[in-house]
Amino acid sequence: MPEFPEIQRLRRSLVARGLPREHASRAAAEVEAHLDDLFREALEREMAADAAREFARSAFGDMDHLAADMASRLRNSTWFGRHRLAGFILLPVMSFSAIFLLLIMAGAATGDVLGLWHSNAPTTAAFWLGLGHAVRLAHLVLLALTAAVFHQQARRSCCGVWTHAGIAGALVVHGLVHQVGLRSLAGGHHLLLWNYGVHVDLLVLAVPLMVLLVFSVAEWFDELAPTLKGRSAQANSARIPE
Amino acid sequence: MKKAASNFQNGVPELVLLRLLATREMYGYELVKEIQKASQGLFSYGEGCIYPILHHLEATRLVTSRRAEKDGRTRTYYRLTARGRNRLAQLREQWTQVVQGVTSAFGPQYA
Repeated sequence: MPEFPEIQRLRRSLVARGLPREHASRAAAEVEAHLDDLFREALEREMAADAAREFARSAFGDMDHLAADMASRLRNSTWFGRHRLAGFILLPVMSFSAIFLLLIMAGAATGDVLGLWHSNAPTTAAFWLGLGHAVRLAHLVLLALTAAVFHQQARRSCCGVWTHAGIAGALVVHGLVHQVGLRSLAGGHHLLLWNYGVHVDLLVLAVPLMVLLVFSVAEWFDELAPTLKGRSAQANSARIPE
Repeated sequence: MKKAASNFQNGVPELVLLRLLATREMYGYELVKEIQKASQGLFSYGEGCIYPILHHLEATRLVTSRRAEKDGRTRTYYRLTARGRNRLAQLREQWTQVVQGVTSAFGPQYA
């Protein structure tokens, strides 16, 4: 098979436009096989190898244009791809708030059934401290899960790096005003603070950024893995004595 | 295909690809050749046009693909799904209506 250096450019361009790496590699392999078919067809028509290669290249035209068309059509295949502002900026914030509200309501109802909120309930300071931590943990875990689900959806919808940054940005901005905590009041009473503008918990701001970082590192490893495998195979074959 | 005709081309490549894939599974190069043959050379969609449409059809689950080796070369074969068959029937009906409408608009009573 002749070498077509533009295949690597196509692959890189697809990845840069937000296609999952395995999809970009598959598309590049498919186009490479097609280029090879065109090359063989040209050889059968008794063209010289250079002319045959040029014939195959010219049939596809500009690879960046092909990558742009492919990415745009794939994005338009999904609701999320067509509505990126609603799907990746508004929906993460709204769904996170709605699910957290449901969790709080479920927790409150359970506590009520168990009689934990009654004034004569046998609760201790440690219980309230533990409950405060549990609420905070639930808040952070739900935040991380929301970010991960929407990053995965952005990947599936072939949305690029700006969409991923948008998801993290929306959740960070929301975290600046949306906080949760438990405050002790006089007389052994406690108050759940779940509102906007209480105080800024830095972890709430860090979690969406950490998820973005983990996601980016995983993507980077995904990209690097075939190269590393190739190098390791080369090193192994170099060690085999002739 | 002449450029002037491109005004009437919206949706046609999708219809043609679904129609061809309804007969048997094919890979990209085969499809390009088959389109030229089936349209008697009237349609010649460039290679750069076929893959974005095929991948879009796959993303919308109208076709599925599989990688298979033939004569020592790996190819991606596409074939129509049940959903794709329904879409083809829909598009065919719409197309027939368009053709009937245009034919009738150019009929003798408007000459």
